[in-house]
Amino acid sequence: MHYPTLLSISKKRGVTTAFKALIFLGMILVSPFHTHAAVLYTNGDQTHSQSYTFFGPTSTFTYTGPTQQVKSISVEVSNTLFSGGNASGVELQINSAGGHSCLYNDNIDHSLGMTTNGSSLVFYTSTQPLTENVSGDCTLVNGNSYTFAIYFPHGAGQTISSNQDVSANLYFILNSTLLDTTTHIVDFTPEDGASVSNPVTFSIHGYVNPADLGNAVVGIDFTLHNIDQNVLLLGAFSPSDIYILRNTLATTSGDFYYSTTTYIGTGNYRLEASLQRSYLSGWIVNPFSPIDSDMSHQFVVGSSTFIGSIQQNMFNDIFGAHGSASSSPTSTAALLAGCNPLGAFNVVNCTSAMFVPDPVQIQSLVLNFQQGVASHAPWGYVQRLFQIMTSSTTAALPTFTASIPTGPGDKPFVYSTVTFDPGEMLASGGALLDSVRDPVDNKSVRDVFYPWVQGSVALVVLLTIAADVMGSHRHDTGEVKSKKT
Amino acid sequence: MIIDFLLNFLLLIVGSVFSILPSVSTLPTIAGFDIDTFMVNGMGMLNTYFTTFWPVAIMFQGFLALMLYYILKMGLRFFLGHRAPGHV
Repeated sequence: MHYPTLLSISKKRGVTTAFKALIFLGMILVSPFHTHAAVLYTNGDQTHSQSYTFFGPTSTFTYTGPTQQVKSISVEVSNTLFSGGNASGVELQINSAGGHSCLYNDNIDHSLGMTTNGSSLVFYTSTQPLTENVSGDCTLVNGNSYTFAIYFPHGAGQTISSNQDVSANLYFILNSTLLDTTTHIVDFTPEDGASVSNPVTFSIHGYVNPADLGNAVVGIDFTLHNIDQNVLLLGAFSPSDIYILRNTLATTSGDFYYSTTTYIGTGNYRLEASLQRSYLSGWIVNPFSPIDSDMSHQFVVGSSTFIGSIQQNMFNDIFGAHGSASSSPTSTAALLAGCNPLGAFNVVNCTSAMFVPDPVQIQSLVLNFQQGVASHAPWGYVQRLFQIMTSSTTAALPTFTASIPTGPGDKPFVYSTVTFDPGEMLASGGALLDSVRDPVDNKSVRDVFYPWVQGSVALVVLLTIAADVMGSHRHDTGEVKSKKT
Repeated sequence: MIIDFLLNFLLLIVGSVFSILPSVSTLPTIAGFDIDTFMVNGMGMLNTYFTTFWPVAIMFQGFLALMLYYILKMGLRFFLGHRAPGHV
């Protein structure tokens, strides 16, 4: 199987580091939004800027940045917007589009070239932004669409005409108190545990802190592993790893995005995204780097395979030891933190994590056993038999119809048809039994006797098994003893 | 983690061996007689009967539990031979 897009990328391993850096920069610049997504830090807050060109009074833009609550919004518009006009105010709106949650519309005329209300609104010149504090929870979500509008003046209902080409820079001052400003992988797709179909879109969103762009640089790897049995068997002859991004170097701080869509074969895959500090121009990755973000998603294209699932489970076990398992992060992986001698070492938690499988692991194990072993002949027939016998599905009982000659006289006989429906009889009988109630506790016969019957049957089954295990029902006739002697 | 890893590894080996055997989703049809359909319909009717005669349903569940025990015992004997517990 050949997948031209990914393989062609993987063949670029020999390309020089500088060229790959240029490719990565290019990917950021041609991201779906019109412009750069630089991130600056001011007084502990994060300023996320986006600039774009739009026509007319309103325009819809797609926000590409960290999903975060907005503290204030600034807009920087070109001079041409107001030349020749006698406008005295501008109104700034950020409205929801497509049902997204951020709704901001202050309905206030903001005067040009003047300062109003001191801190709440400052508009300096065309090159300095008009800033408006946002009250309430206005959270911009990465990838969502919003409508941006400039009206002037609000009272006269005058707006920018549709033939006016207005350039504007938007600045979102984000609330950084909840923001993770360390260099890290924000998210990537396909999601963990997803079942997807072709073509598959691979995307990654990361963040690089400016302080980490010093003498060293940050390397980004985005690798796809096919973990199907046929690939494993041929792994010695043909490497199964496909490098979507291979030691690509981040040259700018802030958010970075990469996305590609391609066709891949059906089966089990593991997608690994890692972010590490590199040095010596990116040829050597520092294994002791504090920037060590390594995440893994496992997904299925088309249908999963038994051995692929087992491979994923074992990978999770090993990866879980490092606290970054892609599944059950709050159980085994969390307990394993107790094994860290430099951290909060806890012998009970550590031992539990090492030897006691968590429920997700057991469930996965049983499922794999059913699919990979028990469903195959000959015991597959036993499994199917038990599956049928333990099913609670009901079926209609057959009805019996008879034609009986009735009436006196000779031929021709008069026939009457009699139909017997046992299903109806059972349903009526059951309803009748349940209608008989104990006058004190209002319990039916079933309510009263069910636990007793269940307990008796369970006791008989347990005694039978115990007798079989202990061999108490096998009488010693002395025959064996005499043979020995 | 260690137990799970070992069980997964064991399952991988056993599963690889048995993957050459055909996968079973239904019971076979012998001489034109569809055993699977017969069993599904039969159990469906029995379940209808159980809705009223619930004590029989409990006894049937007990019977199934006992059969499961004997099947597990047979499996252990198959794999462990004379080392299986309870073997005489």
